[in-house]
Amino acid sequence: MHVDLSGGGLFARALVHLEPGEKFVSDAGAMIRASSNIDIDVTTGSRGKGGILGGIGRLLTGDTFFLSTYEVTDGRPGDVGLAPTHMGEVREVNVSPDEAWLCAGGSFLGAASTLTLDTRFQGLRGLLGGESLSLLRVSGSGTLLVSALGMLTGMNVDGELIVDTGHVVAFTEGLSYKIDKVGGGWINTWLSGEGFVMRFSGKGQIILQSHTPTRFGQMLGPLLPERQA
Amino acid sequence: MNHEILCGPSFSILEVTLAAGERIVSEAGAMAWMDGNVKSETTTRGGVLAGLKRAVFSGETFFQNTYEADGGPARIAFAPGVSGEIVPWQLQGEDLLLQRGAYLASTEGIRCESRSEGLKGLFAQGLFVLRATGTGTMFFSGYGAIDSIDLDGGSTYTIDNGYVVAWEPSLSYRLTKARKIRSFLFSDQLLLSFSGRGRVWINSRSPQSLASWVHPFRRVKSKSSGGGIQLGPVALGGE
Repeated sequence: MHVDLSGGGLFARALVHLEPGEKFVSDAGAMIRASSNIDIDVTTGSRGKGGILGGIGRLLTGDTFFLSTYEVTDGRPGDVGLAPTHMGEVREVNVSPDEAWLCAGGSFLGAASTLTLDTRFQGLRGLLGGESLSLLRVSGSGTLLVSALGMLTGMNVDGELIVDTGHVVAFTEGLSYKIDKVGGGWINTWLSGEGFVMRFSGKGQIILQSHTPTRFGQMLGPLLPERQA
Repeated sequence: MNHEILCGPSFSILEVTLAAGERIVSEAGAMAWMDGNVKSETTTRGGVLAGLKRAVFSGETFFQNTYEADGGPARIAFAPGVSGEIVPWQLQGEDLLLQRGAYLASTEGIRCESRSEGLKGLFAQGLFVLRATGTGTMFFSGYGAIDSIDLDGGSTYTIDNGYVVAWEPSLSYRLTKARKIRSFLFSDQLLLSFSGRGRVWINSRSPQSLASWVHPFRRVKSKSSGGGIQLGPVALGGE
């Protein structure tokens, strides 16, 4: 399996080349193209924690209910093209068995099926200005694809790092984190407009995105006509 | 006529240099800037019916503008409505089929008309697509990066209907579905299966997908006329 990333920064897309026997999983809506020998199997779960319960977990996180699994059917190589909704970068993360990654639900584009996806619901949805946080635990060995609104930047954390939840794309599990607020009290937090932050500590890698989809949505939404509830 | 793609690939703009007396046609509204000696003329190109068909059925404009370099060479630039790439394509009497809104500009020898795709078109972006025909250069655009896929006649290729920009008429397509669907709610993605020998172009983002994503952020119409506080989206879906 190998992945061709093209489109530079702004409109990146991924072309995943699959050999016979290999499988790749993505958000069901992310597929834009596929060779004819690719079989597309839409399920509510991936390997490991799957089935209906896994699907409901994802429903709660606000991500698409369904994952698509792709594999070649005729013993010849095939390809699947994936693209995110937003303008921005796509990056390949090589997950190794030594350390799992936690990936923000909205930044997940796809993963090799050799990886195990596990939904963790953080219970922060719809609070204080619509901030939400859902994390997928990605473990095993294989390729993980993450996307961004804007550009991605990776850094090594050694010590403490405070990040607005909306900018978090993925981080290694070795980092511990606390959901926290920026200011002193809750009223201050609300007034500051910063909402929730994640206070990371320890040693590990983290990938951040330059812009947060939630703020972008909150800017655009009110400019549109009201919708029916 | 010379052309250059400026500000690409993410925000492509087409700049054309016309020799004296040369002309270029674009959809209405696409002209971004031009020299003072460019003469423009707005017509339906092909008659009112052709204009109407283009506008109503193919998502293009009723009028098309023809620009002519008057008395000397002149520059003129055209910008598409969405940010992304522009593809120049030569036609030597062949046709090219374009998805709604993909047409940007063309040299004078090319005519554009809508063509019914019949019922299968219903599942693409509308019942009609735009057919460009003639001899010359045409320019089309898409949202995001544009990739071309060449089919050799031996196999088919599957593409999400929301991402198809243009294709050669030597290709045929039919609506397909993911072959093995175990889910019970898989309705928002329609896939087209292309076959034959020729080229198809796809873009890497979908305006529809962005619009669907924004939808939950819209304010909810309250029952009373009062304001009320909206604490962010609570709807499901989107990323």
